[in-house]
Amino acid sequence: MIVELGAFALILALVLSIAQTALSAAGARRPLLAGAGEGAAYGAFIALVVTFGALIHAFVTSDFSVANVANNSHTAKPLLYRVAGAWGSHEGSMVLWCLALTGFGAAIAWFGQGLPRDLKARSLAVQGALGALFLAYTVFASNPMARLADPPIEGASLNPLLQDPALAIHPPMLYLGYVGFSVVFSLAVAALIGGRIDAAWARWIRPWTLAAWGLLTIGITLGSFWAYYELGWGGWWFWDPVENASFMPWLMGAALLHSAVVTEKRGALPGWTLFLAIAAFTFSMLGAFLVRSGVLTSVHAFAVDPERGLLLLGILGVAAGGAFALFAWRAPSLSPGGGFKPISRESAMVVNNIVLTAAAAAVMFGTLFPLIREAIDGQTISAGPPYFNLIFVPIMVIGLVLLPFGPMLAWKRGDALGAAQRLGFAALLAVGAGLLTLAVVSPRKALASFGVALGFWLLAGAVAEIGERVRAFRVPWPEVRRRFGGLPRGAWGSSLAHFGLGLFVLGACFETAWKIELAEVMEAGRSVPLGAYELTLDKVGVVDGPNYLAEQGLLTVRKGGKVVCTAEPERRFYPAGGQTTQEVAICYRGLDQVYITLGERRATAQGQPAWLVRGYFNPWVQLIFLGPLLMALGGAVSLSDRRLRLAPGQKSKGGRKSREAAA
Amino acid sequence: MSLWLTVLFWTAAALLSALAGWLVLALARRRAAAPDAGDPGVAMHRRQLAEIDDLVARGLLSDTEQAEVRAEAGKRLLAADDAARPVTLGGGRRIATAAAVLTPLIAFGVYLWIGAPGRADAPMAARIAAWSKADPDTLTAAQVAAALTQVAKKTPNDARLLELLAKARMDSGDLFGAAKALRAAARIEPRNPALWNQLGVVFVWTSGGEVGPDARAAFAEALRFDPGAASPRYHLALADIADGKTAQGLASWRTLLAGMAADDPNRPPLAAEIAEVERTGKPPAPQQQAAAPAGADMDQAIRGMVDGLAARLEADPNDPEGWVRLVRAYGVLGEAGKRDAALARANTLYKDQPQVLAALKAASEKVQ
Repeated sequence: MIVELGAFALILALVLSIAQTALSAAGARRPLLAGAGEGAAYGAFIALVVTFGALIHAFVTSDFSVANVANNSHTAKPLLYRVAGAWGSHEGSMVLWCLALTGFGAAIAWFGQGLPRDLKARSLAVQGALGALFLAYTVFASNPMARLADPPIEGASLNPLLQDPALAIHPPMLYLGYVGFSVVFSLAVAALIGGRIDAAWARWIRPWTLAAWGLLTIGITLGSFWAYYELGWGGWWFWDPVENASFMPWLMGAALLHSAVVTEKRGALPGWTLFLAIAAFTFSMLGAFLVRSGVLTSVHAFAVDPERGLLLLGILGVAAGGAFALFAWRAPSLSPGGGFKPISRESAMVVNNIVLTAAAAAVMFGTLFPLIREAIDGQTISAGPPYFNLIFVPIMVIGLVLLPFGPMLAWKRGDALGAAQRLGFAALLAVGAGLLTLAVVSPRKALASFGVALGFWLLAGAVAEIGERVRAFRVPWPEVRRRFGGLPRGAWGSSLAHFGLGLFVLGACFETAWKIELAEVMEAGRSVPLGAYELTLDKVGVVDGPNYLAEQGLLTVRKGGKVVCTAEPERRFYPAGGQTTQEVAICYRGLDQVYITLGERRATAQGQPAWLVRGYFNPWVQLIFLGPLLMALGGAVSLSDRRLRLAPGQKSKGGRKSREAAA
Repeated sequence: MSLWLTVLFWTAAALLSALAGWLVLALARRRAAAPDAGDPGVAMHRRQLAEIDDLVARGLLSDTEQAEVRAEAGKRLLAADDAARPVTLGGGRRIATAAAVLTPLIAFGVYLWIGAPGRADAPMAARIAAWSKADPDTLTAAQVAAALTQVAKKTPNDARLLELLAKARMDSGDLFGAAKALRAAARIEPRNPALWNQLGVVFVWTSGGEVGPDARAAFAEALRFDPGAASPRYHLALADIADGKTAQGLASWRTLLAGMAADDPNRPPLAAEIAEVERTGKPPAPQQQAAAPAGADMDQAIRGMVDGLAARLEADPNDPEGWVRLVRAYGVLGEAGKRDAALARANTLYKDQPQVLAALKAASEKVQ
């Protein structure tokens, strides 16, 4: 009964989304119909909550009469992964996607009190149309509630690589980020239809952009951390097409955040901001297509038939194609907004936008070109790290070198010399750190030392950003304190994000250049050195897990003869799917990590059992994950800026007052 | 689905539809009644102007800056004020009502077309409960295994139960699960040689007939508590032959053969294997699972049960289900002669009951 209720609710959500589109479109001029559209938006969201709940219930109770459950769950799976299985499959993840889409639709209805009526109604119409497209696909081409006539006795289980706590929360975060850009997309299309794109519009898209970008940042970081410790390859980013698929909307979102500030403060660059708003969600949809089309072979890719991939490509074409066509038609009539000189905050933001867009284009090219090439002449080529290191990294380096200048420049016309002087200390610190690294850290690596310098340049630049805003060392101390206390949260948010970026650059450069790897066949009792550490394999035991059998190594990690930690890496065998996975053991040592995996069982020359142990010493690797989390925190702090919250808050307060007065 | 569940389903679906329709109408009414608050775009620009004052008050804007910024924000405010042209039309009540009513109806229509109305949930727990109540003979090995797994969760310290579970899992092809159950059983009764032997057998099956290190360890453990046990001796000798210690292995096998009773069903296959190894000097080809003498102990147990059933039917033949079971069991054990005899006997007993005859026929054909 619950399964069928979920199946019905899914269809109800689809019909409600269609109604939302029609009612809201007609509601741009008629408040009554706009209200009806809002009601449909809430209804669609509630219906999908019912569907999602029914699906999770089916997973938790192992109802194998549901095809999706039978294909992706197993009775022996721990509860958390049975729940997470609801979005670990293609069909289930589409429900999560649609849930987010309708959830954001309901959020526009709820939080959009401060929006002009017509803009709000049109946004809800566009959001409803997006929901209808994806829901129609879900209902008719990938229904998660489809039943099996003859339910099997046991399910086929979920890929054990995905049975991991990080993977249980990574997709929801990622999807909230991906789909969060749909609101920005809808607001952009609605504004294009209405023809009013000004500073006010830019401010309205800002909170949605910040929220989507922040969630996407967390989602990507979790995914990267998962790849780091679950795949057991010692790396944290593989330029895998699916990683790129999530990275492209992130880059566009980051560009949009900056360009929207220019439009908000100066009314300038409206066309560019619109373009980025449409592009960010287009890249999100591209990601959804890439993961599900079956054109990719990747750990993340859902193995799905090309037919359904084509349908998704069709949805992408309709949504993005329509939006860009509208943009091409309307953009020439946009007012250019306030002017600015080549040296100004605005110009710095333009440079930021060019860099980020070029970077996203480079990633897109590297991701899609192999696919296109294969489709055309059947040749398989891969654009791996060498391509991205050669194209993406230099583009980003230009942007990172210029980044600290932006906040130092005034709006409209800046003072390049003054900005350079104010960054003198940061430059000195960066050069010093770079030279010190070159001199002290062995083996000597010039490029990586430059990377360390760049990291410190960003950190010091972020601090200087605050310093500049409070006029530190230029006005008397009490005045500085007063300014410091009065800094808007938006300013803190941007500095935090830039500081996080600096931490990430430091970690990425240091870890990549100076990590130490080791692969050794070890029998029990043997010790091998790993950098300054010494690993000893004490013994290997057997662990009987709930749905796997594992060999668990017990290793002691010593430094200078002293025990610093014990590690218990596992090699697990999941009989349900016949897969083997590695559970990495990580010793946290300040910013560094000692990372150990246990490989397959072999035999020594004497016939003793031995195991392939891989060890990595990853210096400063924590910064790689800490940095992006700080960036997301910056986004959250910015989002809490009262200037963004003002509109709905004031309204509702006023409304309450008037109601009280009436009473 | 029982009637009340069907009623519950349609009630829930109708309530959800009603909620959606109510939301559409309620918000339509509220928005139509709300006073026009003016253009929020203009208000937003006014606020931007106010924020400039705020920034000045906090000392974050210099005088020259503020004049310029203020002028620009003012210009934008004027532009927004010009552009604000709220056109508000009334009406639309009928459309909203139609949407609120039609939306659920269309959803119901589509659901009746693509859904499975009236189909009940099938949570695992309920299916297992149904299997536990059913006659085990009507169940597949996998169903028995699923039901026993559930029981074993409640009584985790019952080695006999785990042994049965292992057997059911082995029959359903879940060797890994069988090994798991046997390991658990051996943890409860670490001195039970039969458990260790069965565990060894499962390992041998898992590795396609090869006696690997895990299997050897298990057989060695079995021998420790029952030095005379046939199966472990057989397998350890097989392992010796596989290792190239052919003479040693053959000697063990010959001792084993010499100690076997004359009517031991394992005698002929073992003798054949000895002859083959003597001829080729190589270990015999891995056994087919069904014929593995490894299962000797377990096979004997089953045979005991079947013989018991046969004896019972001999004493009290009026048990059609028993006969069906017996016929099927003989078929499974590969004893065609006994099966046909039992079938013929039962066919005459129940020649006027076509249902039983059909069941007997099905049971005899199932494994052929």
